Amino acid sequence: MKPTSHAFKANAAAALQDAGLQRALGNAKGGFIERRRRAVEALPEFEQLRAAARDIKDHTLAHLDYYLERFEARVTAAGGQAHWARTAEEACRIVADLCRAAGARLVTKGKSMVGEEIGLNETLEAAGYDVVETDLGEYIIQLAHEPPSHIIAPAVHKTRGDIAQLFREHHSQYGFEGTRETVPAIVDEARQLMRGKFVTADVGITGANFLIAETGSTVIVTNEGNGDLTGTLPRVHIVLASLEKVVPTLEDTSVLLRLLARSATGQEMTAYTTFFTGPRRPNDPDGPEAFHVVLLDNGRSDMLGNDYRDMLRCIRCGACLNYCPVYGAVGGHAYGWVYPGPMGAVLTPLIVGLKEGGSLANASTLCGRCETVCPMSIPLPRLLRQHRVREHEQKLTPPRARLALAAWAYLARRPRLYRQVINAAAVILGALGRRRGRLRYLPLASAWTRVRDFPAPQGRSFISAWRKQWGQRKER
Amino acid sequence: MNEARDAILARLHSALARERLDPATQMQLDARLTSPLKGPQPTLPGDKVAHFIDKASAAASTVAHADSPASVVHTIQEYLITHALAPSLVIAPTPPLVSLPWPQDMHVERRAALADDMTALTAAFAGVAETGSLVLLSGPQTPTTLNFLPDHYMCILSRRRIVSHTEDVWSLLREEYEGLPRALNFISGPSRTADVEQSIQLGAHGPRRVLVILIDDWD
Ligand code: SF4
Repeated sequence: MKPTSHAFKANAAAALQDAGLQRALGNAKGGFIERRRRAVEALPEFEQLRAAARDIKDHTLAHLDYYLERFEARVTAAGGQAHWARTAEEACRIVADLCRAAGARLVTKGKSMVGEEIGLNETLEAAGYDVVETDLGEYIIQLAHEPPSHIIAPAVHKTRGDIAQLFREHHSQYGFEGTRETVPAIVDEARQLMRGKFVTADVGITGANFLIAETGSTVIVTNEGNGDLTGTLPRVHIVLASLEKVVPTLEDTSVLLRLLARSATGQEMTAYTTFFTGPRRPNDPDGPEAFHVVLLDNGRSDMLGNDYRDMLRCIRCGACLNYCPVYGAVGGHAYGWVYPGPMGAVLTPLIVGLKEGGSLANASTLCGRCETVCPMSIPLPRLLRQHRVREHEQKLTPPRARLALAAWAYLARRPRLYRQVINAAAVILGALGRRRGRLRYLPLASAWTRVRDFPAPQGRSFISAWRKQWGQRKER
Repeated sequence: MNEARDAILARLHSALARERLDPATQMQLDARLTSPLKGPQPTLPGDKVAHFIDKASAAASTVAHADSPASVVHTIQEYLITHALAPSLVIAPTPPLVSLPWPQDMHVERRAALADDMTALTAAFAGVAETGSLVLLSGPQTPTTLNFLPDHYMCILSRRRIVSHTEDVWSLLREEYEGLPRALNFISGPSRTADVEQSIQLGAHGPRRVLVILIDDWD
C-alpha cells in the first residue's frame, strides 16, 4: 500500500468531518479501555510482569543474531524451513514462489500486520491467486479495499450498516440473501461463507505473535479460530514474521502472553493460543505437509542499531492506540499507512522514511498515556520527540514552522531582547483582550483561533511577574 | 536466499557493534535455553480445580463432572438432547474415548474432522487453572481439526492433569514429550469475534460451544 502519511493534517481534518467514522469511533471508545483497566486491576503482578517482559525483550534484542539462528535451526529440525527477507519485495517474492511451487489456486490468510506491511495481497492477486482474508475484520476491509484502521480490530471504523452493505454487494454471488440486521446474522454469514474457503485452500498464511528459539515454534493468539483453520487445513502453511518477534523460551512466552491479551482486549487469555512447530508428523491425520517461516527485516536491523531499539519490544497489543486522544478523534486511516496511533507514528517513519512519515510525529500531544499503558514500557513520547528533532535537522518541517522556531531561538539566546519582546507582546495582547479576557483572532495563529479563543495575557510576562514576586521576597 | 540471510545477519552484527558471539557467550545463552527461567506468575488463591472451573466458566465454557465412563456417555447424551443435536459424534481415535460404553443408537466415528461435522469429542493433555484453558496436542490419536471445525466441542480432562500455570505445561511437555507436536492449542472458551461494532459474538469460525467434562481418573 502506498503511504499517504505526509498528508496527515488533511486526512485528519477529513476524518473529523466524517459522520459515519465518528459514530464508529464513538461506539468503540470506552470498551477497550474499560476492559483493559479491569483486567489489569485484577492482576496484582502486572507491574512485575511488565518489568520482566522488558528485560526478556532487551536481552533477546541484544543477542538477536544468536536467537534467530537458533530459531532457524529448530524450525529445520522440526521439518520446516526458514526464509530470510531483507525487504517487503523480497518477502512477497518468497511467498509468491512458495505458492507457485505448491500449485496453489486459493490462498487463505489469517490476520497478519506484516502481511499488510509488505502489501502481500496485492502481490498475490497480481500473480493470479485467489486470496481470502479469514479474520472477520480483515475480511471486511478486504471487501472494502481499505487498509486496517486498528492493529487488533481492523474494521473498527465500520458500522454494522456499512458491513451489511458490503455483504449485500459481495455475497449474492454465493446465494446469500439474508437481511443482516443483527450482529449474529452478519457473523453467521461470514462463518458459512468462510467454511468453504478453509477446506479448499491450498496455502494458508498466518502471522506470528512470537517465534520461540528454544523450540522453533511460531505462536498465534486469536479469538475467532480462523488462524488455526488457516494453518491446519491447507497443504502448505506459511508464517510471516518480522525479526523482532523471536523470544528465547516457552517460559519467556508465558510472561509475554500474560501481558498481551490483557493489554489488547482485556482478556486473561484469548480463546485460542496456538504453538505451531514444523509440518504434520508422519502419522498425523491432519495438518499441513509443509511449514515455512518468512523472517522479515524491512528496517528492523536499522532500528536495532540506532536509538529506536526500544520500539522493537512492541508486541502489537494496540493499547497505545486505544488510549491515544488523537487516534480516538481521527481513527486509524488518517495515519496513512498500516500502523496507526502512537506505535504507528513511531514505526511508519522508520519503515517508509522520515520524509513520507515524519509528519505523524506531530500527530501527538505528547500527553504520555501511551507510555503509561504500554505493557513493554516503550517510551513512545520520547521516540516521537526524537522524530521531530530529526525532521527538523533534515529540514523536512514546513518553512513557516522553521522560521518561527528560528525567530524564537534567536530571541531565546538573547535574554534581554527576549524579555523586551515578550513584555511588549504581553502588554499589547493584554490591552487588546482586556474587555473579554480572551482573543478571538491572532495574526499568524489563525488556525488556532478559528476553533478556539486565545486567553489574553494579564498584561505582564511570566518573567516580570516572577521578578516582582522574587524581588519582594528578597527584600524581606 | 542465503544471500539475504547472510546480509541480514551482517546487518545485525553491525547494529550490535560486534561479530558473531564468541563460543563462551553462546554457551551461556545455550544454558538459558536448556534450563529456562520462570518469570512472575499470578498467585492462585485456593484450590487449582476450583480455580480452573471459575476461569473456564468466565471464558464461556461449560464445565460438567463425570465420575465413571458411563457417566461421561450420559453427560454427552444429555448435552446432545439439550441442544437438539443428532446422536452422532466424531471422536478422537484415542483408546480411552474409543473404549467408552457407547450405546447402540449413538453414531460414533473416529477420525479427523470434516467441514460439516456438528459435534466432536477429544481428550486434553492438560488443563491450566490460571486461565481455565484446555491444552490439546496434535498427534495420531488427537487430530487438531476436531478442536476447530465442529460447532460443538466437547473435551475430557482429568482433574489430575490440571496444573496451576502455563509454565507447568512446559514442564509436563519436557517430561513426557520429545520436542513439541505440530500444533499445541490452548483453548479458553468458544470461538468469538468483536469485529462488528465491538459487540462480542460467540461462534465466529470455530466452535460455538465448549463443554469440558472433568473426570477423576484418566490414563
Ligand atoms: S507500543 Fe506498546 S502499547 Fe503500543 S502496540 Fe506496541 S506494545 Fe502495545
